Amino acid sequence: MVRILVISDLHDNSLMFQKLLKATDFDLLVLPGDICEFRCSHFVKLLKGIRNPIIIVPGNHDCVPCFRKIVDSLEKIYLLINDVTVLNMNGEKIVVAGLGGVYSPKRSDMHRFSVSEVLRLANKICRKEERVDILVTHECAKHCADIIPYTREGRGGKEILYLLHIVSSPKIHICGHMHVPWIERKGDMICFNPGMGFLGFAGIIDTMSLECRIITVSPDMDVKSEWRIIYGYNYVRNVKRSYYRIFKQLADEIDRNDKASV
Amino acid sequence: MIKRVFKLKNIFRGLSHQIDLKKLQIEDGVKILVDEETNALKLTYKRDREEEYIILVPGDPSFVVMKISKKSLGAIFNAFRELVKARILEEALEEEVTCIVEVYLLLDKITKEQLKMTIREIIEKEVVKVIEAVRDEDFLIEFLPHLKTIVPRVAARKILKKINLSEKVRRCFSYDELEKIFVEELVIADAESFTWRFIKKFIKFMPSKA
Repeated sequence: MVRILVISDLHDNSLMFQKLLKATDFDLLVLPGDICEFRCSHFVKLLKGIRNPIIIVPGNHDCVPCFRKIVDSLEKIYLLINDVTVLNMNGEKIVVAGLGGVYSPKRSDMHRFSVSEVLRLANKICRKEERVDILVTHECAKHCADIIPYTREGRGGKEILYLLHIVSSPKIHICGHMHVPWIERKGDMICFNPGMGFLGFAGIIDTMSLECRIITVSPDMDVKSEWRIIYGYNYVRNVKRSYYRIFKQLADEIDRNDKASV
Repeated sequence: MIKRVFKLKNIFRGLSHQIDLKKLQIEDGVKILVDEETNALKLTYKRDREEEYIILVPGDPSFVVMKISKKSLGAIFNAFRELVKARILEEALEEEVTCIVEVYLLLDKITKEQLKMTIREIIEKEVVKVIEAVRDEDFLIEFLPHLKTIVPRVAARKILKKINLSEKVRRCFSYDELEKIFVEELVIADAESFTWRFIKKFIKFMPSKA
């Protein structure tokens, strides 16, 4: 039996991460995205202190280069951006497939995946002989624990992920992104969203009985002000990005004019 | 055996109504199933305890998932044609899937040996001339490692040119699309390391790592 602790959408809240790690025993830690973007050094220290294997699937707010550095320095961390891995734990073989980022039909970068990435992972799964036990994505599949916050069960998942369901027929699909803790069954598969780790939500999965539970720890901190800081970081980053885009466009235009005049 | 997922050009929107299987003439062992959750259409054929299938995944884009060998091909495609006759599936969709299977069965036939032979031919006829013509060792040290990725790709293109593809396949895929499939499918890590080993035979000095 393997006990899996799932913590998603921590959004740089390292204090809560520490609390959640202490809250329960686990054999495997799964982080389905949006873990750290601005305060990665705290997380690196914490991840280095964990003795159990860790699976990281980056989200749309993650510093992927930071994760790459961590993976290079530690053996037991598996970064699944678009990959399948096999773990041997407690005499049990667990096949895990992971796809990072959120779906974008037009773009594909470290925070987004397009159709071709889904296709690539589907083919990797096809080539493997073993059945996938756990599918981990940051984005949710449609009607698969994809409740949009503050709505009456509005759904925000993506249909394209059905392809991975069909190809891999996983026992459990772990996702994040939506911030709403939710467990639901879809045929033989359990869709599991542990909710927002930032607020103290996490999930526990028992691989033998396939029992999934949501656990919570009390924040004991000023969550609102903490969120305002993260929101502020995000705001500054977005402003920087839009300025960068404007300046790049201007520079390209000047380049074009120069070439034309030559 | 083909085990692949392919993006379709035609869009499969799922089935709008239930299929009356009794009206369809389907061979024994073939099953037509519709997944309730995803609305995917699965055509399966069980042979010697092993299941082979073609799954059409609806959506925009749509996909086809294949686990199929030559032995079950006939039975599954007969069922496919029956669905087209009954106007449950579009003819264009059937044609596209048939073409994909044809291309992949051809690719299955191309052995590693054939690829290696073509690589050997390219190196002996073309690459050696280049190596002999260049006198700057530093240039060669930087340039040669790139050839290990280039030569297998050229070999894949040469193989594609030699193959006789049916009119149907040529109608369905442009040359560029076919070339992309061949390069992606045939250029494997093995071919690259073989190329590198073979190139090294023709030069006296060589960097230790490619």
